[in-house]
Amino acid sequence: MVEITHLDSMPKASVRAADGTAAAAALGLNFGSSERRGDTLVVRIRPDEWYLLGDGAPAMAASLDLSGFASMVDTSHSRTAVRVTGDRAADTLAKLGSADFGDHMTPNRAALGNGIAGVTCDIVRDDQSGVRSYLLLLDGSFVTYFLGALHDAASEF
Amino acid sequence: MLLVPCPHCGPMNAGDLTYNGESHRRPDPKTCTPKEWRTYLYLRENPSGWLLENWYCSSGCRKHFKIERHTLTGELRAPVLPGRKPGATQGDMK
Amino acid sequence: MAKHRRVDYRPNRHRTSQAQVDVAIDESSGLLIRRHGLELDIGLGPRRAKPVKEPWDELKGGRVDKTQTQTTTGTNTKLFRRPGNPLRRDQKLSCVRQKSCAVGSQRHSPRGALKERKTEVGFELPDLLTECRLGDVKAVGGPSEVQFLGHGDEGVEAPQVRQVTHLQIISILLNSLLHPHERIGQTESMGKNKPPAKYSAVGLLWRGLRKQSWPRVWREPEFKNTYDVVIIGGGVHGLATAYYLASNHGITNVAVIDKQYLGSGGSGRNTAIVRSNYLTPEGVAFYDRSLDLYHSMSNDLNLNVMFSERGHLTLAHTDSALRTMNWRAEVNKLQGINSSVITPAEIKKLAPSLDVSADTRYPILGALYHPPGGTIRHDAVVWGYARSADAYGIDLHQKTEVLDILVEGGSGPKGKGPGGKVTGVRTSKGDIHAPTVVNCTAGWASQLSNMTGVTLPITTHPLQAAVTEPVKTFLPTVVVSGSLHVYVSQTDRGELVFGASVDPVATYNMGGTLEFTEELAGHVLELMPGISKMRLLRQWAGLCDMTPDYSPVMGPTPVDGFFVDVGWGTYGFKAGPVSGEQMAACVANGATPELIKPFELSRFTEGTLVGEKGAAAVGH
Repeated sequence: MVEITHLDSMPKASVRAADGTAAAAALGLNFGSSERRGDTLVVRIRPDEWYLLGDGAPAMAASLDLSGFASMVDTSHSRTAVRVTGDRAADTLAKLGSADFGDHMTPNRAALGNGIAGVTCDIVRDDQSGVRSYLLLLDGSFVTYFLGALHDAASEF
Repeated sequence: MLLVPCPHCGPMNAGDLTYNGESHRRPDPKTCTPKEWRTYLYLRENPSGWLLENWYCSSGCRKHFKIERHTLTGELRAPVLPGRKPGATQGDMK
Repeated sequence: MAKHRRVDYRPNRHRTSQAQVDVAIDESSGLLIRRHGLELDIGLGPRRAKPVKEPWDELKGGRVDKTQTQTTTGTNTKLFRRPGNPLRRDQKLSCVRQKSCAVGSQRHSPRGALKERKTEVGFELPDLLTECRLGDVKAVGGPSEVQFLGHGDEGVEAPQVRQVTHLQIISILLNSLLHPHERIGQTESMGKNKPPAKYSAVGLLWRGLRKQSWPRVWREPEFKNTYDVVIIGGGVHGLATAYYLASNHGITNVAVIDKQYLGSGGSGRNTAIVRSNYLTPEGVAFYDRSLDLYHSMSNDLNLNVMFSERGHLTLAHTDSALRTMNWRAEVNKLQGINSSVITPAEIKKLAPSLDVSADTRYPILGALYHPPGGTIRHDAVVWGYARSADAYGIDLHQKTEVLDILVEGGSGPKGKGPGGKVTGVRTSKGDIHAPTVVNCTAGWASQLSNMTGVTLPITTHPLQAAVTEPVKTFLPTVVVSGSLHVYVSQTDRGELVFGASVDPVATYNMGGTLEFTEELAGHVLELMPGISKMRLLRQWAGLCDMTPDYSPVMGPTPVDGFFVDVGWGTYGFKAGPVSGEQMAACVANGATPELIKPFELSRFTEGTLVGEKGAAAVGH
């Protein structure tokens, strides 16, 4: 059972901050991991980049101290999110990408970048009440094709 | 294909990275002659052996790095982040 | 579905499953299997190299060659490589596909450092090669590594190639009918400058009746220490240059040197397509002359090169591609080349197996139709030039490797580099004194040129191709799709030959990859869904010398007496005759002919590049 949801209206902010800046210290986390803070999902998706996802993202982004070499961009409308949930979610993604979506490699809260069906995606493992779930962030313009590719891959299960 | 070890993301399928060819020192565009600039742009050593190359982790950490690769056997040495010398210890990856 | 056996082993249960992997490896022991065992230990722990204890180390003892281990002191990365052996001819082709699902593995979990040994998946390749149909080629995951050595032409890897033409086959049949107990294939000696035995129907009958076999096609010459011209590279370009030096300019004190056998590089690995519908006036003029030479080649060389002028279709899948096709058609018409844009309905008439319906992923909107394009038997071209050059007294030295090119008076180290003068060539069989050296080595061009201190604008990329089992003729034209990166033609034997674009990463390794097979199968089936039950026979790769502007580098270099005919990239075969003719004129007259002036090496330092990418990148 795989459930594919297009989270079209989810607020998203991208924060880039160099080491030693106030924003980097406030957001913290290790590269490749994520954390839920209230109703915001904070993801350190790259060594110097964080995503703030969810309804609390605008407020958290506004409260950040962006002094020094740091910047924040609202990507709510340029990037889009797709959630893949279910027991076979990992199998579905494995058909389209080269990363290992097993528990031992990418446990809950892990974040990584990978090409899924030829589209560069940022992937966050974000289990929903114990059910395996992945949040995929990609360029909004690819989403129609991307949902089709996911649907084809998941239709086997 | 190759399995290229990105300094941040670990081993990546080469298809998930962008290959940027031989690593060259770019001449200063303000002072170099057109001939120097074109030499930098076009001419390549293209050896059959160890070669320091530029790679870009386009679907992972979106960082550029250098790595030495053997162009005949496909062996790879440890990756190098920009500004560091080949063979130096990798940076502290927080 | 393909009968892939999936072997998944993890550290805690590798003993049983590893045995299975080893069975698969044993079956394919002749293949070069590259296996990267890689462990990154990042972060909190002490930073030091930790050798990965591979499961097969225990099981297989000394089979892993530790000398291949690469360690960089002070880093925490360690790479292992497992070397392989070259394929023996009597071995059946089988392979193991492996996968390392380690992408995204070395992450930090909130719990601390995460350390993971890779997971490997093994496949047995016999399934892929003999049982898997095109429609079934599917990867069950991501990165893969398949290496098949050999491209199917190993059979001709003898110092002297005995060619077999249709006439000879009939002759041999006749012979065996008339003299069933005689041994066929004995050779006669052939003197220098004696014309080769003429292939003709009368000769065939005469020899058949007299149970004579044909003489060896070319001599195995003695190694001389002085030549007027040394040509490095015994492919179409090198041999054509030698032939035209002798036939057009009377220069016969020439040696052609090849590291392997004649036609062992790109000349025997290309997909044998010829055409002249290029985009720039320079390109069009050049390839049209080549096509002219190919037309008269069978007569000129007295050898059937099986030129099949079957027409060439370049498909357009987008409006912008269709616009480029129209542009190319107009450029071609202006140059007097037969080339036009046709509609899907006309395409369907020409090649009924193509899916021209509008509801496909890449609908066919039109095509550039080029009736003079077609295919030629590439081996026959090599052999024809070799035979004729040999008849003029040109020495063909096979299995002779060039170790160095001797240069004097140059501005670089050891007297090499610009301003110098070539004095000879150092080979594995001895030194040769020669005032003129021509580099026709395609993929290896940079290495040869570096020996003289001349740096070329070339990177070497492999290009992969594949061939299916033979079926009845159904594809009357050559079909090319630039968007899908594929070109297809059917050989006289009925096999479909597929080619693709070059691999993105520069390498001298000619191994095949499963990714190529996968992509190729997908793209071919987009065009021709009807062939999904066809089986793939083999795949191979050749080395392409790619230049920044997808155009060749021809003519003199800053080193006096050193000429290059390189940079042909993915389309050197179709230009072989004309570049041989022009290079011969260039070498003989000491001046660059008008036709190849635009392709001189100096264009890269002068910034006058030739923009041929639009029609040459995947335009076969």
